[in-house]
Amino acid sequence: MTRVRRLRVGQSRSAVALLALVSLVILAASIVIALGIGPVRVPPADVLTVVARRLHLVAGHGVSVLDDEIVWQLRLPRIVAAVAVGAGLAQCGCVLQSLTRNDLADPYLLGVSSGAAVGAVCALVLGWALSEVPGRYSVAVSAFVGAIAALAIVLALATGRSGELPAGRTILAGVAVGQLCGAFTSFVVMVFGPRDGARAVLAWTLGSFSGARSGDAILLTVVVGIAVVGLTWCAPLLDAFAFGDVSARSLGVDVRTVRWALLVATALLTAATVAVVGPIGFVGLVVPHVVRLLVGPAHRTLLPLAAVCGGILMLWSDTAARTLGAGQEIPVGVVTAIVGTPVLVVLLRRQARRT
Amino acid sequence: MRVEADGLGWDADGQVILSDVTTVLEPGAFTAVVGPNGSGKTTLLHLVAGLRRPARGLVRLDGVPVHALSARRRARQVALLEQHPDTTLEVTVRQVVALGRIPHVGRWPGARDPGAGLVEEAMRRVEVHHLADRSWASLSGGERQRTHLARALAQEPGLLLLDEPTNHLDLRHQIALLSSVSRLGLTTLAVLHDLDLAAAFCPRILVLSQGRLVAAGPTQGVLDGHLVEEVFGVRAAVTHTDRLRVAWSLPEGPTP
Repeated sequence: MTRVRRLRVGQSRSAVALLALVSLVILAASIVIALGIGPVRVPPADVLTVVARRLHLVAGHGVSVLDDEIVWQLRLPRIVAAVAVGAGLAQCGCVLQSLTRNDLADPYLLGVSSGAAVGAVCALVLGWALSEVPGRYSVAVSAFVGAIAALAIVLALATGRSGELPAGRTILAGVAVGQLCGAFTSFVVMVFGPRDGARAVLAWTLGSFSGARSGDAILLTVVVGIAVVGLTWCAPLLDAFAFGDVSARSLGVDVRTVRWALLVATALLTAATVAVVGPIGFVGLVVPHVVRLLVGPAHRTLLPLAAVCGGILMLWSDTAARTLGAGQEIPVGVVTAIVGTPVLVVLLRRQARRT
Repeated sequence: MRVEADGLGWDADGQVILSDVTTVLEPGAFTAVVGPNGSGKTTLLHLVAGLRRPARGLVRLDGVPVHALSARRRARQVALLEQHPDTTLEVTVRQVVALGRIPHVGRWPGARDPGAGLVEEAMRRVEVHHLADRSWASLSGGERQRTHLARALAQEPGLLLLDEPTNHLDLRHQIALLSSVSRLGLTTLAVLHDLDLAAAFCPRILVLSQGRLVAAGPTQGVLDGHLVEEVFGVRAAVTHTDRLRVAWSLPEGPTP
């Protein structure tokens, strides 16, 4: 008689509340600690004073102007952006794994990242840019346009006669468009790229928060915040997909509409993150699995908790990325892959033993 | 719930799958749907469930056309037990049964379900309550079917639709499952392959052949040797001793 061996927190509201509280405390503590880490170390007490003063909670004079600038202007936007992107990608991963019933689904499933790469290459290498867009945003805007174009092609390829989007065909269409975009990106870099063009494109495809400004951080926080609330609201609909489409329909879910709405919503959210910080792998794939092991597959608990855990993971990955390499940043995508791969391997072995 | 099918038809790829099915299921009746492979049994079930929109005709539930209902309202009235529902998720029996409450619960986070107790009650009614905390992956085929039957009951349906519920179950579990279903007293329509089981448990029967309803009515009376031979091409004797029985015999002479 094998019972499910895991924290059975899915059963009791108080245990879920406790876990939520603990993870939020860890997130807050991580933010405070990470704000202090860098070439100039700022003790947590000073970090808290800076933040409290900026939020007009205290009229403190005990912080130096330098500490204030480093913590509030230099590090905070980047850290907020990292938490928002991590949370957003983890959310999208949960939703896509549920909708496609595929353990390997991640936020870039629908060709969003490869489409964005095409857009980024056009801006970085070919120098195509929309003239109205200020230079700093030209790559972000063309990446977003590329992502949306790729998404549109994937949806057009996958949609059936009566408007349905079967999971298998959607995944295949995503793979096909991804391959084509990858070929285009490589071709442009090899043929037209100056020598440092390839380097710039490679750096972009590994993701970085170094360009994140306060405007980006606010935008991402608002978008991800809306997504967390909206998707958690849809939790019972996602639960209904546990036994497939027919079962979901017989439970009163309008499968066609729900799948369209959620696929497009998660792809737009992902496109927004890719435009700002580039594609960052593994967070959207691994975090949903880990959180599911902790609290079970019920989405009302899974989605908010995955958001917090994704935020924590991305925050520490970016902190490692900006501090570990001497004099040079490590691409954050490399850090998430180094952390994510062992976790994924452990999960796969665990699943292999079970079956 | 009284269910009326009126001239139901369905096509796929230009082929007629189901044609002109007109029948009535009286409230509380346990009705079997039998017929050879490809005769349109599952299609009929899906049309009655409102999962597909009929190409012709319509289905009424207590007089209301099933397509006039929203998906959510329909799911509060009709529960479907499909063939081999399966998942790779690590869900417990209680969580699977609780899925049946989805059409009833408000969408707002924290919304309380006044019928939450029905999950426990449904598990007791089909005797899976002792398995409540077991994982889905550890269940036997019979336990899985009973779990999904409990999920269907948690939906509080007026109509229960079963698609080959006894497939892959041993004889004891086939009998146990159909006994549980007939004790529920719900209007039930079940696709069954085993004519003897249908004869034993279902007071009423619909016989499909090549997409047409060729016989319908009380099982004792409708089901006879001629009909079985005509529809299934198998010689059989239908007798009523201690219960209605269907006994088939091997074809004479060299087997084709």
